[in-house]
Amino acid sequence: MLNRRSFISVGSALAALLPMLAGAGRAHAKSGKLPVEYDPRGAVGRLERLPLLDLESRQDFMAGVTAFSTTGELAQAARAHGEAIIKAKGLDPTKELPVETATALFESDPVIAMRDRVWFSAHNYEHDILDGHFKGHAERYLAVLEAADRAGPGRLELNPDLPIPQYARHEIHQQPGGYVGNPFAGHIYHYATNMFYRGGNDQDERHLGYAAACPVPQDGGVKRILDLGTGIGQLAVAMKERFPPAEVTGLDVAAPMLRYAHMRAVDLDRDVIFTQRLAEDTRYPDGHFDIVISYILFHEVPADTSRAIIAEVHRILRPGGVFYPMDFNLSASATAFRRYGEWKDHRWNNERWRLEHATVDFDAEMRKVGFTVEDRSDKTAIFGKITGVKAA
Amino acid sequence: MADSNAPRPTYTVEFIPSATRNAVFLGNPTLDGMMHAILAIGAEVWADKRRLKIIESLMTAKREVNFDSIESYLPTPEQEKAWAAERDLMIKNAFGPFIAPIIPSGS
Repeated sequence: MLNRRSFISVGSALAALLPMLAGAGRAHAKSGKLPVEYDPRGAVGRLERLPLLDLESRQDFMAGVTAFSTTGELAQAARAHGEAIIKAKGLDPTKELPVETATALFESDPVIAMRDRVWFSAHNYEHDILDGHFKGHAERYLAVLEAADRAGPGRLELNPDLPIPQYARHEIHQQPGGYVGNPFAGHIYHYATNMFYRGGNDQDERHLGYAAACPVPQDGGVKRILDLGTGIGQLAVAMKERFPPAEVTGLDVAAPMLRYAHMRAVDLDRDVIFTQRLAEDTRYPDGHFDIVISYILFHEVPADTSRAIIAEVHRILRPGGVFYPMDFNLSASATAFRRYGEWKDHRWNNERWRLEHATVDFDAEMRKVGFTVEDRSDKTAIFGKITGVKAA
Repeated sequence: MADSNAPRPTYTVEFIPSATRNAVFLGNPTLDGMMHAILAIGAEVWADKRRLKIIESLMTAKREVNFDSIESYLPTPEQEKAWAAERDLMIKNAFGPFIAPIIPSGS
């Protein structure tokens, strides 16, 4: 589960850039270049409106419920209850608690339990209505995808023979079919995460901000960029918009996500290569890329895979190249209630590798393979800011 | 000749279903189910309210009111803001009682 505060802190840090980026986002609207299209309610800028008013309204309601249970009154009440429980037990609220202790303390509290129930229901309901809609009109949406598969700009490279690892087959954060098992994984991911962002990323504002914040190699050379774990390609497209002459590649293990990413890039007239490969075994030549970037990839893979990916990134970066992985801030201060929230994300939201990710000393792993690491993570922020540079 | 009735490729593979879809938070799966039902019904109520607002907007602007005009209506930024505030108030009024006074359990 992504904590909304993390995005607020990132967003505020980029606030000076957002007006310019938002303007750029509005200018980069749909191009009408898809060979087959289905958007009966049109689009607002680069975002197609959900095709039925009632579907959009239900999502809107659940966006409100999600806000109520993550930052609003219900979330605040749950936090207050958690802190009161800790205080009543004479415990230090700034210290982590063993999972067994935390669950025994917090799970039986009615407000904390209700907060969890409300959030969980909104989350699953949102996924279910989207899944139901896209599957209910499968032929139509598959026709659009199929036509886009062969269209440009850019290209889509799928590998039906790629062995899909077990770790990638889970229904991460309860998304129906996960990323690999649902032909509409990309559609569902896009609209479900839009609900999470509550309108703050409808025009890819967040991803444009992350692209703007990405460091560049000291010599300024940016010919090839790789977005690892690209998902639906929002960051890859944003990097292309920041570096138009560069060859930008979005890599992912999940074909349904890549198809949606490519379809969307064609629709936005952005020349991006989307390729189905493993992040830990990309098969690219040594020193191939100038920048490797990733967004919320590492907390969704096992720790050993993270280490393998870090090593692979070092191999495929050229000397002086930059690695900019964005994910949960592992150096942030832990509190008992916060750690309990992370455990819940792992236990109930099917974020399988969330807790394992917290055990990875990311900076050390990057240094181990040869990166020079700069960690500018704010200790209070949920989201980190780490940059790795390969020795020149 | 290609078979036009052949199913379209989906490029999906077998996935591992979540084991926690039916998680129980309220101590009783029926209670959890009821809470989920209340939220789902709230979504339907809000969908109807939003549709009514659009109809009223079209009528106020003396525009034609039909399925297409309702479905395609794009709220103004002012309407988006006002409707979101109304939605949030509706949620707070409906679910506010669950925000109990700050009395921790066991004390």
